[in-house]
Parts: sequence; structure tokens; C-alpha cells
Amino acid sequence: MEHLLSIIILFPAIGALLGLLVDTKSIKTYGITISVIEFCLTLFLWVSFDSKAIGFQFQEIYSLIPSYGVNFHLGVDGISIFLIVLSSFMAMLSMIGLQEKRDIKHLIITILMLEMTMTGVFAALDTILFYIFWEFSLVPVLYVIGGWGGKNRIYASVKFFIFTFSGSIIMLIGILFLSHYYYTQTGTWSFSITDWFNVSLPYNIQLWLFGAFFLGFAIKIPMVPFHTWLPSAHTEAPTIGSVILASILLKMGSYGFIRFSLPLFPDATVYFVYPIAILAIIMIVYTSFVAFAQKNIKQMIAYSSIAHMGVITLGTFALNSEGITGSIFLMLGHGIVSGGLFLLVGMLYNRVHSKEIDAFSGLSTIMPMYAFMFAIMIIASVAFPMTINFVGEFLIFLGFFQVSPTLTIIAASAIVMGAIYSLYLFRKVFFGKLKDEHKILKDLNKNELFTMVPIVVMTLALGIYPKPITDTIDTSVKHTLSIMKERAVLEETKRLINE
Amino acid sequence: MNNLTLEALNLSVFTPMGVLLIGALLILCLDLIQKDLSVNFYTMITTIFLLVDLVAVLSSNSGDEAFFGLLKVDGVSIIAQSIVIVGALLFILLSIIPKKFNEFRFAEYFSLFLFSVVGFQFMVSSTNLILILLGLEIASLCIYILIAIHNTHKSIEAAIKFFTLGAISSSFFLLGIFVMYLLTSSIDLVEITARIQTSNHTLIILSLCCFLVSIGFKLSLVPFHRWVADVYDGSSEIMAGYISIVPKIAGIVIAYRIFTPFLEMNIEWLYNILYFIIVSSMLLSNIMAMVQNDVKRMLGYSSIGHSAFILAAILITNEQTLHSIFLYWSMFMFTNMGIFTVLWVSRNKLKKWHKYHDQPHIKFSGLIYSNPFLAIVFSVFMFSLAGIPPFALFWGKFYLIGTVVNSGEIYLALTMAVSGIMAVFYSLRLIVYILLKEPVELDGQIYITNVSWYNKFVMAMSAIVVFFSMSIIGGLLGYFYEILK
Repeated sequence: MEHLLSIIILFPAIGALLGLLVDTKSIKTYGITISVIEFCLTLFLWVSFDSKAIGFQFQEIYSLIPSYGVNFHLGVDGISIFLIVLSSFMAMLSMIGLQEKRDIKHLIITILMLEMTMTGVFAALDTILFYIFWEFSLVPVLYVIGGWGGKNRIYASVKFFIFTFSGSIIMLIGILFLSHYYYTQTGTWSFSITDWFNVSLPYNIQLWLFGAFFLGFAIKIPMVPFHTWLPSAHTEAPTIGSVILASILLKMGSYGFIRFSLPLFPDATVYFVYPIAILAIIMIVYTSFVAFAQKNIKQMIAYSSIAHMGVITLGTFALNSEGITGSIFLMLGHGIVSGGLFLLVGMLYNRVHSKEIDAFSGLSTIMPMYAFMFAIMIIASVAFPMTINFVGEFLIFLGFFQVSPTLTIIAASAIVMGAIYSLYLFRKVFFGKLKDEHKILKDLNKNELFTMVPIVVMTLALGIYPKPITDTIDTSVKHTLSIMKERAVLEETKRLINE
Repeated sequence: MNNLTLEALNLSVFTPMGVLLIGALLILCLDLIQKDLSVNFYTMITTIFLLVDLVAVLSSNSGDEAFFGLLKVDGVSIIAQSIVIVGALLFILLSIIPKKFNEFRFAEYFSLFLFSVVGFQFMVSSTNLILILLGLEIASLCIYILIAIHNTHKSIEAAIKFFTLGAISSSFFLLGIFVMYLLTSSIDLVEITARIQTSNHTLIILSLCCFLVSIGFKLSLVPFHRWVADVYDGSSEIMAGYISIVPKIAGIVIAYRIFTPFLEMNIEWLYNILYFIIVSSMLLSNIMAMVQNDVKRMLGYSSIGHSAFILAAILITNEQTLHSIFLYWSMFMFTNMGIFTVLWVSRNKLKKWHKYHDQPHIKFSGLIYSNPFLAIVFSVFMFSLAGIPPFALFWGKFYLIGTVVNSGEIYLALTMAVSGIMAVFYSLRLIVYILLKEPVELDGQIYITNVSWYNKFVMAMSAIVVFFSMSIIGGLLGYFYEILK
């Protein structure tokens, strides 16, 4: 199966194109079928992945522009494989839980195209290929938010598009500069990071390039102060858009840091550890307070997403294997948990057509199953032990404690804010006196259970036994750290990075 | 004078232009003999001659000279001629439509069209300034008529505006030639650059400024850009598309031939002026494009930005310049051709959306609901225009910005990136109308009143190139490398 990765990437795209020929009545079943097959393919990828091996596996390389060294270069390692599985997992579940009625055919085809770009981003080893998938992912999201969103949908989708595009075009210039530098050093053109790893960069160039890449990734994550597109996008987006945005698209940014920024610019990374850590802590504290002030459930979860992304960023810049492994594991955890929360909010919205916190109270008496699921998601979101997020956050703080105990203590105490607003949300919505107009609400139906049960099972299962995943991640993270150490030009950096 | 034989003229080099001249004259003769020949007939005759011309161009050898060096075939001229001919070929196919428009009643339309192509071919395959001017004038005069023949109030206004300003710009070009001749007693660019020793002579400054004005007008660069929107607005979609692509590639080649030798001499003021023109063209035109309410006017302003991109490649003069220019322009050609074909297909005389404009943004509101297929194709073209990967123009932008970065001009590259963001903004404005807004027109048929197999073919060709550009770009660049060796 040496073409497995290309098949995984192209399968949803071909499915989307053929979906144009399917009639509207059966398109949902068609979409589910395609995404289930895609999920099985990614599971097969995981099964055939050698978790002990170092470096990239399933590599494929086809030439696109021979004279300029642009290749269709794919490969996965322990860092990216689980994100690919997560993408297909969440795409599948959000497709099953899809409740939209209007223009369902356009929506399904768009989601399938989006799935192609998501797997492509995580599998690309050629930076130009990465950039293509990264940018092209904006197009389906623009259409999903703008086509099925709420009142301000056009504003939100265009804002999202322009913000992320602006960041990434600066990154493109960084990529072009890097390839030119590689050319001056070796005499051949290449855009492949596996080639770039062989050449060390001077310190001052690293600083500039780190800045260019940082802008692209930070807007996507989104780091404060570039975060303003996210709440508006989440408020307006339909459920499926929010799910995919929160669980996968944001991870592209933090993945970009680990895949590109860290190994390519090790000295600059070390230089920027404290500024970025402080920015991450500001992210956590500030968005936690903002989340507490929200009146809209979706907005609250959106801001809590930013806070979680702050924790992930903090872990990435711990620059040791605990921190980075934790941050990748938290990406998976947050992907599942925030996706689950948005799905649950969507289910409530379909019944009541409101997302205001004040509109609800005492729902646990009438929707016990729903309340149970929501409770598990909420405690997972605040990183309660035995849930998936706990593993990630614990590893991150363990990792960053070695860098700076003070900052770790500040960050960890800010996490308490997360517990406050999450439990406040849960209390307001599920406890208290049930409103009269809500007495007719039905509990989860079969389809919704089918959507939520896998998420809940994963949340608990990986919270209790994360070892198979963390081991695989750890191997690749250690390899990445050794690349950093090897490529560093300053002695200081070599000393600071311990594998 | 003894050795003046027919062989010495090397007439075979003249074949490509000769074919078209015969074709154009043949059309005029046929019109004299039989009056009631159809549009299909003339279009097919034109197409056949253009195809023969294309074959002749592609089979000509780089390095050939005719008329004692007056006509020169080099890699640049072969590729530029190919782009001119392919553009002309696809645009002329759009003439066959079910609706009756004034221009297609005249056989002269097709004849003039061929003459304009001949003019551009002369323009790009010579280093003799007089021949360049001659080609420029032949082509321009034809285009003024081709615009006016559309016979609406606005098209005549556009033609007069274009003619007046075009004539002034040509006179500047002529003035530039005079001064160069005064200085070096030569009108051949190769000789001129060989004879110029010092670069700070007042006459050089005067001459280059004259060329700059003239070329700036032809490429519609700021501050010589004011005619663009009106001319685009007044022309038919075929002619607007044609003048957005074909005359510009000829202008670009002239700019390359004139400025590159001087830029290689490191003349600082020329570099600075060009830099200023490029930056202001990129930024101002894109700002103007953002506020337009008519698609054709928006495309007019956007084309200024694209010309400025190309000029940036000329400014930096490294070994990748020519490849990036031609790659960019061939990708731009297919993108723009697709957009103008969509506009042409949806053209009707109802004026139901706007009092003056034929193609206001509002016309395409909710196109995805009323005509999904056209909407998808149209938005793919617009995404390509914005430079979103993996569509065609992304590769052009990528390679061109790469060229700029490779010569160390990071700030210029950043400016280009900013103008790229602006391009996204104005493209997105139309895309929002197409994909996201509520439909104004539930009957999708109104958007395809002009549809015929021929313009479907052109649209399909452009869509295939734009969509699958990823797989052809490597081969195209390889071909350019081979020709430009």
C-alpha cells in the first residue's frame, strides 16, 4: 500500500466530485458512506504505521515543477498520523449528526472537499503542497459559514477568509525565501522540509523567518491579538462548521508550529519561548474571563477553545518531549471534546432555536441522556482526571514546569477559570427550575446517540489509557527535538533542548 | 548592393505574419464577392488562419533574422506570439452566439481582428523601434475600430477615449525614438544599448521618460491608468477580454526589451521611478477595484495590478524574469478568458439590474441557486484571480514572487503580498454575491442567453487549465526553459 496517503487525500475529493451526480434525497447517506470509508482508510493507515520507526513513513513523491523543485511529497510520522485520524473521525461524526435541511447537497460536497484539504495539510511534507492545502481549506469554510450561517454570516466568513489569508501569504514569502537560501547553500531547488532539515540557517535569518511563519500559524490558532475572527465565525457558523473549525482547522496552526517552526528555526524558537509563553498565558487568562462574560453558549465554547489553544501553544514551546507530546495529545483531546460540545449545542439549537444561556434551565429533568453527555464533555473540557484532556494538560504543565515554574503556576491557576465558567454554564442550563415551554422537549434520538456515543467513549477511553498514542507521539517528538538540536547554530540552544 | 537577393531577405521568417495578412485580405475579398456569408463561416476562416499561424510560430527557429535584422525571432518573440495567438483564437470563437450583435454583421470585424494580431506579432518580434511602433499602431488602430463597432453609446465613447489617449501615447513613443536616434544615430535597440556609454546624459533621461509614458499607457500603469475602466466598460466582453490580455503581453515584451538593458546598467533613477510606478499601480488599482460595482470595471482595475506584477519581474532582471512573466501571463490569460466568457455568456440587453452597467455585481447575486454550474465555474475563475491555490494564477503569483524574493527584494515581495490580500478582497466581493447572497433571479436561463457550443468550449478549456494547472505547470515551465535557452 505505498499509495495509501494519496488515496486517503484524494478519496474525499473524488467522492465530492461524484457526489454532484447523486440526487438530493440520498446525498446524506452518500456523504456518510464516503466519510466512513475514509475513516476506515485512516484507521488502516494507523494499523499499518510502525510506531517504533523514526522519521516519515508512507512517503510518496511526484514531481510538480521539476525546474523549481516543487514536489507532491507526502508522508506521516507520529505527530501527524493521529491528526489525520482525528480529521476523518470528526468529519464522519459531524456528517452523521448533520441536521441542516437546506441545500444539503452543496453542504455535503463542501464538507468532503474540506476533508480532503484537512488530511492534505497534515500529510504534506513539501511546503508548497502544505501551503496549497492550507489555503484551499479556506474556500470550503467560507462557503459553509457564509452559506448556512446566521444573520451576520457573510461578515463572519469574509473576515475569517481575509484574516487567515493575510497571515499565510506572509508565510508564503518566508517559504520562498527559505527555498532560495537552500538553493544558495546547495545549488539545487527544493521545497521539501526533509531536504531543508539538512541545512542550518544563520541566527538572524531564523528570527525573520520565524516571524513570517509565526504570523501564518498564530492567526490560524488563533493567538491573541489575532483571535477576533474566531468568535464571530463560531457564532455564525452552522453546527457542522463549528465542529470542524474547532476540532481540526485550529489544530493546523499548532501543528504548523511543531512541524515547521520548531525544527526549521531552533534558535529563533528558543529566543521566542518567553514572549510566546507570555502571549499564551494572556490567551488563557483573557479568553477565560471573556468566556465567563458570554451570554451565548456557542460563544462561550468558542472562547474556551482559544484558551485551550493557548495551553497547547504553551506546551509546544516547552521544547521538551513531555510538553510537545502533551500539546499534540491535547490537540486530539480538544478536537474530540470541543467537537462534541458544539455538536451538543447544535442538538439543543435544533430543538429550541436558541443559543442563549438564559433561555434554558433545568434541562436535566427532561433530557437526562443529553445532560449526561454534556456533563462528561464539560468535565473533559476542564481537564478532569480520567478524561482525555487531563492527560494532555498534565503533560504540558509537567513539560513547561522545567522551563519556568512561575509561568506554569500562573497558567495552571488560570485553568481554574475554565472550571468556573464551564460549571456555571452547566448549572444554568441543566439545573434549576424547568421552563414551561421546554416541557415538551425530547431526549436524544437514535441518530444523535449514534453521533455522541463514539465521542464520549473516546473521551473516557483515551483519558484512562493514553499509552498507545502517547508512545507513538513521543518517538516522533524526540526525533523532532534531535533535529532541532542538530540544526541549532548557537551552543545555548543545544544546551536548552533536552530530548 | 550587389548581394541583395531574395534569399538574403530570408522571407520564411515572415511566414507567420504573412499567413494572417493573407487571411485578413481573403476575408475582405470574400465579402466583396458574396455578401450573405454567416458569422460561423468567418469565425471558422479566422480560426483556421490563426491555427496555421500558431503552427508557423511554434515551428520557427529561434535566432532567425529577416530583412537584414529588421525581424528577429528569439525565444521571447516565439512565446509572446504564441500567447497572442492562443488568446486571439479563443476570443474569436466567442463570436458565434445565438443573439445578434452589431459587430458580427461586418466581415471587416474578422479582418481587423486578424490585422491586430499581425500588428502584435510584428511588435514582439523586432528590436527595431520603428517596426515596433508600426506594429503598435496597426494593432491599436484595429482595436479602436473593433471597440467602436459594437455600436452602443458607451462603446463609441470608449473608442474615442482610447483613440485619443492612444495617439498621444504613440507620439511619446515616437519622441523617445527621435531622442534615441539623436543620441546614438540608430533605431535598433541592440545597437543603441551598445553605443550608449554614459547613463546620465539628459537625452537618455528624456528618451526613457517618453518610453515610460507610452508603455505606462499601454500597460495601463498608474498614473496613466484612467482610461481603463471606461474602455472596459464600453467594450463588448470579447474586446474587453482581448485588450486585457493580448495588447498587454506585447507591451510587456516591449518594456522588457527597452528597459532591461538600462536596468542592467544600474541606472538608479530609472529603477526608482519604476519601483514607484509598480508599488503605486499595485496598491491604488486594487483599492479602486474594491469599490467598483460593475464586474467589468473591477476587472479593468484588477488588470492594472496584474501588469504591475509583471513589471516587478522586469525591474529585478534576473535569469528567472522571462519565465515568470510568461508563466504569469499565460495563467492570467486563461483565468481572465474564463471570467470574460462567463460575462459574455450572461450578456443580455435587458439592463434590468442597473441603469448604466451591463454587469453589475448584483446581477450575479445568488447565482449558486439559480445556475449552480455556472456559479461554480465562475467562482473558480474568481478564486484563481485572487491567487488561491491550487488554481492557475496562484502558480503565476508563486513563481513571480519567488523570482522577486530570489533577487533579494523582500520589501517588493511584501508589497506584492499586500496587493495579493487586496486582490482577495475584491475577488471575494464578487464571490460573496455568487455563492452567499440571496438569489435575485430564480430563472437560471437568464444567465446563459448567449450560450453556444463554441463559448462552452472556450469556457471548458479555460476551466480545465485553471483547475488542473497543478499538473501542467511543470511541463509549461520546462518548455519555456527550453525555448528561452
